[in-house]
Amino acid sequence: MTDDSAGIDDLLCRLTGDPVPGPATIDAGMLRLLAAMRQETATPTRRSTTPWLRRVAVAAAVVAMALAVSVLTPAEVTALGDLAEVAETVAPTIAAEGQYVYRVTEQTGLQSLSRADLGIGGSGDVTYLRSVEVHTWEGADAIREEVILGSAEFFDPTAEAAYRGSSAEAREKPGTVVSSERERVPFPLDARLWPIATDALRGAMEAHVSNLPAETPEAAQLIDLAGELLRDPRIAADLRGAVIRVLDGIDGVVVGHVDDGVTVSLRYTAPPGGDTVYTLAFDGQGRLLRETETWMDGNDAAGVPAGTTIFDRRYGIPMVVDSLG
Amino acid sequence: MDGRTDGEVMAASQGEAQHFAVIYERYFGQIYRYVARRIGTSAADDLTAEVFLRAFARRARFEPAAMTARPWLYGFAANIVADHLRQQRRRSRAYVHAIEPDPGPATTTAEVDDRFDATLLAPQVNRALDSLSAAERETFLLFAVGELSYAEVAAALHIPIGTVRSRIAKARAKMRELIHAYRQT
Repeated sequence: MTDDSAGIDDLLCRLTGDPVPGPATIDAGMLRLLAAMRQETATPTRRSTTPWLRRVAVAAAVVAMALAVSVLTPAEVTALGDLAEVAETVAPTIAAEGQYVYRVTEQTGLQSLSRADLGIGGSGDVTYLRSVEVHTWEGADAIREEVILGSAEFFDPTAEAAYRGSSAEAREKPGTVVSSERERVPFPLDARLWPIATDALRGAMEAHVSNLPAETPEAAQLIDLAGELLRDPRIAADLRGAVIRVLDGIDGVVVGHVDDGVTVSLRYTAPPGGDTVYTLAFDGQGRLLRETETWMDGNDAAGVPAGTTIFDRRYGIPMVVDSLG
Repeated sequence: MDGRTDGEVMAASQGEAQHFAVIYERYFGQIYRYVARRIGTSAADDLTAEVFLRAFARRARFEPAAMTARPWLYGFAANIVADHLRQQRRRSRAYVHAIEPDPGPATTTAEVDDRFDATLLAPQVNRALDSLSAAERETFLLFAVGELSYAEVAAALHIPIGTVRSRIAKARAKMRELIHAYRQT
């Protein structure tokens, strides 16, 4: 009975039965999940409502208007503290009723297709880098997104040959526009709900990442969360500055300079990329311009060569517009 | 019934967290069955919930073009089960089974026979599973116990589908050999 392949699998299934969760188990799990959802939108360490209201009022009063700011050139930025100070003077981009915050983001990311989909033999999925341009309009109640597909860059010439002319390529033809609209809801990591004192913010961020998988070091989780907060164009100026200060205190963070900005990088080891470098790049006003993730050792199993930047997102400067499109 | 794909639901959950509840409702039963088959029903309640908590916390990393979240969730489940078994081993320094035989009652004569046969083989099956490398074991169990396809196992473990095939073939061969040897005795 167990001397063929299916027999071994069947034996395991018979041995382990067909356990079914009871209603109490399902409900208990759902309650924990709902608690996590509430925690995500609740104040990690809530401040009094007064500063919150004040910031909203200020933001509304200066809709889409930049405050008078002193802009540092990258060469002048000697420490993240300096950048944080400048960032605190840069107003967020907030749309008034009937307006939209519009931003263009250029992104390149790792994707994969099964060889079966490409009609080729051999082992392994086919991985490649796909570039896209994302146009986003964020209104008070809804978000419209248009993703314009760009080119596909393959690591393996054989896989590329199979891809060219395939139905997969036809589906992902460069220039294809994929539009979507979704309801606007409060930002899950609502920037207004985070404390702005550096230590308190660091504590709140640590609490937030504590329920994530342990295989990724906390420092990496923190810089990842910082990126998530900073990429929201609505982030309040004082919080933007505070997040940059928190970045300054993360063990292993390296500050550097590039032609068009200041970079903050962290090198860590975690799956699936192994030796990984994650970098945030800012302009002289502390606005997030770019995020990258590079797998220094590559990933043989996925066919990704060493040193490949598997994620590269460049943010345009957000602006307030009166209409979609 | 919610007709959206998992990818659409996951994308919506980025902005509005409660959409993730749809993923929970769709897959809790399947993930529970896999976890319970691996570690028993008593620990499965808690660890299955943990799978969804981790997935929820990491949902920003979900590839929005994916039609299904199933392999992605099984990837979390496999890691959590492996962590649990490692902890058990550290705590008890005892032998910990790779699968947990189901103690539930059989309801038909055929089931009684099957269960008896399977139960007799349980220690040998676990020993055979223990003889596999961790990678072979997790790959094979996702396929045989989790009932994922080759492609889904590949997606769950972030490995090529060819590697899945070869690991499963090796695992089956080793298990067949060990169980056959046992039956000969």
